[in-house]
Amino acid sequence: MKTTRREFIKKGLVLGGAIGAAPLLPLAAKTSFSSTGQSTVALVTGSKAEATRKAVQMLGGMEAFVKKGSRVILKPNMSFPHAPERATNTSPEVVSTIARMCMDAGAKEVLVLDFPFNRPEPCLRLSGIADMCKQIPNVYTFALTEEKFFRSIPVPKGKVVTSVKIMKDVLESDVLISIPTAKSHTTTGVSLGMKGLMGIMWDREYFHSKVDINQAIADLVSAVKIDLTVLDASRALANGGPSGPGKIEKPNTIIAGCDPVAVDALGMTLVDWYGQKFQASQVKHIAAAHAMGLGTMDVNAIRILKAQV
Amino acid sequence: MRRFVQTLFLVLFTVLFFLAADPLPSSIPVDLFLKLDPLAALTTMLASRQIHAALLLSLITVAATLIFGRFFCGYVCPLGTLIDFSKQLFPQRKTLPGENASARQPKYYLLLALIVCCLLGFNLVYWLDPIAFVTRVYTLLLYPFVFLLLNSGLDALRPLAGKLQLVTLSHQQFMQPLFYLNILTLLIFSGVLFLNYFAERFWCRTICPLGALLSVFSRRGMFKRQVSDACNRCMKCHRECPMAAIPKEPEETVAAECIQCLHCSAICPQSAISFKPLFNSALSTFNTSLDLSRRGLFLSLGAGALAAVSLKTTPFTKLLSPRLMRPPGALPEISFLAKCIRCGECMKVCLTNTLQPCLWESGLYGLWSPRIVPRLAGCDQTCSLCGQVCPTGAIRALPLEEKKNAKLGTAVIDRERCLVWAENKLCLICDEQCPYNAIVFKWQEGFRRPFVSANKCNGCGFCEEKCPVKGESAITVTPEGEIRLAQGSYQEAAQKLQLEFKEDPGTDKFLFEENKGGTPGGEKVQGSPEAEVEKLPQGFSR
Repeated sequence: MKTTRREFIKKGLVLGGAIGAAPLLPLAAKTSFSSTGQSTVALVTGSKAEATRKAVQMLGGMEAFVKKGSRVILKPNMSFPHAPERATNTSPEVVSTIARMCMDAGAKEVLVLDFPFNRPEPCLRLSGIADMCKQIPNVYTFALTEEKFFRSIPVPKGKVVTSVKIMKDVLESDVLISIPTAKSHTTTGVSLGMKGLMGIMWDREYFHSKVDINQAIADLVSAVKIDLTVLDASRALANGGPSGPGKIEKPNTIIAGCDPVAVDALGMTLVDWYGQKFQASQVKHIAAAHAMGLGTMDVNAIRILKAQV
Repeated sequence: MRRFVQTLFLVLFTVLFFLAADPLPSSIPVDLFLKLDPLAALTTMLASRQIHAALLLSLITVAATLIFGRFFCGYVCPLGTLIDFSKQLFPQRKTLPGENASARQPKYYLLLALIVCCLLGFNLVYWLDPIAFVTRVYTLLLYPFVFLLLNSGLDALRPLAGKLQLVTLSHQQFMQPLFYLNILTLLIFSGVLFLNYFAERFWCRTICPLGALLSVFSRRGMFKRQVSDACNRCMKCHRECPMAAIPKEPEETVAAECIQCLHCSAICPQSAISFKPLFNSALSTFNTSLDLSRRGLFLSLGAGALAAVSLKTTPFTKLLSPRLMRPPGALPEISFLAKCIRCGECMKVCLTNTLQPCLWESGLYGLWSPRIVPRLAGCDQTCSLCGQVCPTGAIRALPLEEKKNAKLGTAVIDRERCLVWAENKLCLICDEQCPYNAIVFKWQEGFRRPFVSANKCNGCGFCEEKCPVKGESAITVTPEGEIRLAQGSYQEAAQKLQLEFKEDPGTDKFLFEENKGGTPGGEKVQGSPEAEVEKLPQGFSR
């Protein structure tokens, strides 16, 4: 029910915003009607902050996703005690740009959350994300590593997972924006937006060791609505992921979209992973999400808005 | 006035204790009290036959004691203060004949026995050093208690904080430190405080070897108790002196025992007692002898030697527990134990809480010494704090690059328990966790199986911590291959052993090459079509 309402409001807002902004009208009108069945994804190359800003603007601006007074959760990768150069965490510039855009759009507060593997303080400190977000009022960065911050929800459409424990903050907020970094992953091939969503759940080991993790990720995505995915492919850890070190490619690209499967599918095309070219359909968890109807991985069926800044 | 100074030093001690955390303040000596402890300095240097420069700071205490007397016990020592402050908690039975020399002597004999044992290479000071003892009590008890209290308070406030939109408060949490041996330590600590039951400051008068060592230097200190003619021999001072330093002739003082607490001067009904600087060291009312008996001296010499001989003849000198791993930079075992005073600073500062006190893992002699428990947590590769805070150099203070080469041990996979080996599952958590790329995958019977590259494994233990197999981990770290150096560079040692902790992405390249049908040796693999399907990186399909 909640999701439906949120979606309804969002569509209304996009439409309203589009009417207000005449130059954007054709574009915004197209993006808003996802009911036509076509996913729209913005693909912008350029420096981190500008490309991020442009990508979201091309989707109708942050106002299309964040209404006034809403509470927004940002989910970057900040799970490793590494500096940004290592490409294991999301670039702090991308996260802080999104956070600032949310506040400018009228958000009441923005919570930047992840559940790191390691001792949280060094992750927050070394990733640079906490520092950069601290400068924006009402933006908070937390690493939640205690079970008390999570609550179980059912996964009605799940094929291998029936329930999953999610951060209460995510369940109690209005908007969820996933801001993954693009990296390879020893278990799931790549870790983009959908794999990154595992950072909001408690029992990751269950996914890793008890069930087919690829299907489990798709199940998770079916239970938690991601309003917007902004994939930080300013650089991509093409092998050695998720912890690195590995080969770091520099696609200088930000990919944004409402369809998490489409964003991940396009993300696959940016670099050679492990030195090989892979189609999105070859990535088991992306294919599983596509099969569940959570979005499209068919790159030719995606409306791609390209820009360079 | 004395209470005030005592409180001040206890607060300082406590603040310094809690400052021993990440990030470590660079300009504040968090282990100041331990470095000012001449007993720790003397015993560790004797037992290890090495001068440790930082511990020479304790000469300040010795010099101050020579000049001013045994003030340390009455004003500075945190154990003395805790004993004083807690004395109301215990009923007192003042029946021990306090002025009797036999009640004062044991501490000197204990000190002598300790020194003899140290000369023979074994340091037992950790049983008796008050500063190390209180630091250990703080680490194993106070530190987790404080954080339990903090977290419980935060949990209680959380609903309210949420309602009041106090976002930071409603998300605040601290890692809860956990320690083995906390109950044993609590019992011993309570026992020491309970000794007040037998006599005030029983520990300080009878047992404390640090007090004994300071007594040796304090007897000619300049602040001397002087009794004027107004004394009517009411004997109140004799009865109430917490150190039993006033004999039946109340104008006299047992110099070695007086801690200048000024209690006698405060309670004297005649105001006949004063403490004034006096440079005449040969005051007739000052009994400067230690009253030691020849029999006692021989006995303690024998006891110390016997202790050392016993420790020398246990299998622990030859055979350590198969799972005993010391902190990174720990000296070779014999010197490590000779220097470690079990203060627990390393365990306090440990970023991941992996450092835990030993029970029997290296014998009774290793009680409370730190060990890595990888199932609890790994040793963080970005942290070398344990060596930075070790006051005695039992753990060397290493720069990060050196620490990374101080190999702790080597991981071993138990193929009967590993989900991949035993059940053909896709689990790869050990590889995901490994910061050194030491887990490699090889094709075995059509499946990708994990192996440990021993020359890349640092022994950090994150694989063991995170292994999802319940109970005993399917990948465990053993001390095999550990590097323990008394001196010199770990980097050079690792290079000589052809170890590689460089974190380069060689493993993935290997995977990739094999996918193309080649092995690292360049040999072609003719796989079956089925094997070809399997030879994609994990997570992909054709």
